[in-house]
Amino acid sequence: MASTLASVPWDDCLLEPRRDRDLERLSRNRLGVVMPALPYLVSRPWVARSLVTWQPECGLVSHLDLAIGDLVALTVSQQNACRFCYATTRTMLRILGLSESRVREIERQIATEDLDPRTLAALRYARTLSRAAPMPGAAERDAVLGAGFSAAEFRELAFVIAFVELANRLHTLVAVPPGSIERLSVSRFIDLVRPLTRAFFGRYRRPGEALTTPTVQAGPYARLLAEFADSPIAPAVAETVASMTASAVLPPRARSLIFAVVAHALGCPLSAQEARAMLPPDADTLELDQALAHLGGQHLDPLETAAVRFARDTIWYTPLDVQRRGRELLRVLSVEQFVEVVGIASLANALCRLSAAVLSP
Amino acid sequence: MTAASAFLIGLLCAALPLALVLVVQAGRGRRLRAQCEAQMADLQRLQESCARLAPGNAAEVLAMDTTATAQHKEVTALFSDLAGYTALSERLEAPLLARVLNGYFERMSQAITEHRGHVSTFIGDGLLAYFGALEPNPWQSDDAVHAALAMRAALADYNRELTGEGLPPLAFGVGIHRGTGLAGWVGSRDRMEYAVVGRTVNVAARVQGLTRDHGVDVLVTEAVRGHLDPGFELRELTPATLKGIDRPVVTYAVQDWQTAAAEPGAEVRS
Repeated sequence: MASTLASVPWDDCLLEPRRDRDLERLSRNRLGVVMPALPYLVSRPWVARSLVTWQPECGLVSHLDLAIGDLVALTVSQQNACRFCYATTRTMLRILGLSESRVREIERQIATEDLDPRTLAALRYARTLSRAAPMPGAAERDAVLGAGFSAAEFRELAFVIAFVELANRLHTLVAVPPGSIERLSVSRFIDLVRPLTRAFFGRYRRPGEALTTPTVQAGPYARLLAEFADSPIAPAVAETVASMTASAVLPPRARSLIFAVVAHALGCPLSAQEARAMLPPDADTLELDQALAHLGGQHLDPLETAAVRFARDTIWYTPLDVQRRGRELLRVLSVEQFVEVVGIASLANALCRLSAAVLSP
Repeated sequence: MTAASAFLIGLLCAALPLALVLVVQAGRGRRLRAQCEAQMADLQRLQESCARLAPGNAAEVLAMDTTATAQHKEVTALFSDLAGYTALSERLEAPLLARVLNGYFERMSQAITEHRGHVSTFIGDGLLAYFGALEPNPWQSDDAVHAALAMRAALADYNRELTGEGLPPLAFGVGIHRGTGLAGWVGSRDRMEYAVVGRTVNVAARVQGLTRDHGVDVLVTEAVRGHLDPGFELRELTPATLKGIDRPVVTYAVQDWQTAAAEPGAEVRS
C-alpha cells in the first residue's frame, strides 16, 4: 500500500470554497479543526454537518477499539481510491503519536494481511461491505463475530465502514483537492510537533457513552436506528436523515429516486422501502418502478433524469470517471442542487451498507 | 591535568564511539527506508500494469484472494468482430495493420468502458466485453446496447480518419446476449484471466456471426430485448438456427435510440 494514493487520477475541484462560520465552529468544537472539505459543501449545511457529526472516534463509538477504526478507514479509503480520506487518516495517525516508520509498517501489514486474526477479520469484512458485490451476509458477519468481536463491536464496525463510505464519496464526488493533506501526511514536520498535536487532538478523540435513555426512533430508517438505540450513533444518523428529508432543494420524488436507484443496485430492501416512503402521498409508484427499470422515462423531468443516472455512478466508480460525470451534472444543476444530489447519493450508499450489515438475518 | 579535564576527555572518549554508532545506524536506516520506498514503488507499478491486463478492479480482487471462487451471475455479453479483416490483413503491412487495429480497439474499448462494461479479451480482430460481471448491474442490457451504439458512432468517426489517410474503412458486427454464467478468475497458475464461462458468451459470439447473414451491424437476442428500454428502435429478424442450440433463435437489429421521442430534456446524456 502506497504512503499516499497520489498516482490515482483526480480531477480539479468541481466547486468553489465558501465560508460558513457556524459550521466551522461546529467542526472546531467537535474535532479541534475545521475539516478541509467543509468549505466545498456548505451550500447544503446538512451534508457538511454529516462529515462532522458522524466522526466515529469523536464520541460515537464506545465498544470498538478506535485503532481498528483507523485501520478500517485506511483500508476502505484505499479500496475506494479516495486520495483525500486516505491522506487524512494517515495524517491523523501521525499527529496522534505514531511515527512515519510505524505508519508505513501498518500500511505494509494491511497490504500483506500480516495482522492478528481478529484485526484481519475486521478488515476483510470492511473490504467486502465496501465492495458490496455482492453484499456480505450472515456468513461474513459470523466470521467477524467468530474472530472475537461482540455484537455491539460488530455494529460499531459496520457504522465505521458506513461513515468512511459516506466520507469517501463526499470528498471524491466533488474532487476536494488532496494535494495539501497528502504532502502533510508524509511531512517530517509532524515528527517535530507530534507531542503537541497528540496532546491537542487527543482531547477530541474519545469513546462514546451509552445513552441513559435509549432513543426509540420513529420515522425514516426506524428499524435500522433501533439497532443503535442505546448508542449516540442513533441520534447522529437520525439527525442527518431528518435534515435530508426536510430539505426542499430537490423535489421529494427526486430524493426518492436517488435512494431507490442505490437501493436497487445494492439489493437493500430497507432502503428500497424507505425510498418509497419518501414519495409524496399522491405519487404514482408505477412511475417509480418504470424509472428504476431504465433510469429514465417520459414522466421524469431533466433534473430527475440527470440525478438518477448520476446516482447509479456513485455506487461503483473510479474517481476521475465519476468526477467527470459530476462535472457534466453541474452543467444542468445549480451548485446547491448538485451538492444535494451528492449528499443524498452518498448517504444512500452508506445507509444501504449499514442496513445490510446490521439487519442481515 | 585537572580532574575536570580528565572528566571531559573521558566523556569525549565515550561519546565519540557512541556518535559513530549513531551515524552508522542512521545511514543504515536511510538505506532501508530507501529500499522500502523503492519496493513500494515497484509494487505500485506492478499493480498499475496488472490493471491494464485485467478489467476494472479484478486485479485487485485477485491480489487480495487468489483462491477467490467464481460465482454464478447474470451477465450481458457483447461480442464484436471486424468484417473483412482477413482481406485487410493481406492488404496492409504489419506495422500499419497493427496501428489501425489498435486504434480500433482503443475506440471500441472506450465506448464500452464509458457505458460501464468491462473488456475481457481481445481475440484476433474480435473483442469480448461483459456488463454486470464484476459488479451487479440491474441496467446491464441497456448499458450494453448503448455501448454498441456508441461503438457504431466511434467507428464512423474512426473511418473518417482512416479514409482521410487513404486507408480502407472498417466494418464490424456486434452480438449481444444475456444469461447466467460462472464469472471469476479462470485458468492455470501461470496464466489466468477474468472470464464468464457458459452458454451466454457462446450465444453472443454466434449471434455476432449472424450480423453478416442479416446485413446488419448490431444484433441482440430476445433475452436482451426483454430487459431493454422501450426507447431503443429494434427490428425483429427471421429466426435463425445457431450451432449448438436446439431451437431457432430470434434476434433483433438495433437501429437507433429514440432520444427525442423517449425522453424530455434531450440534452441529458444517456
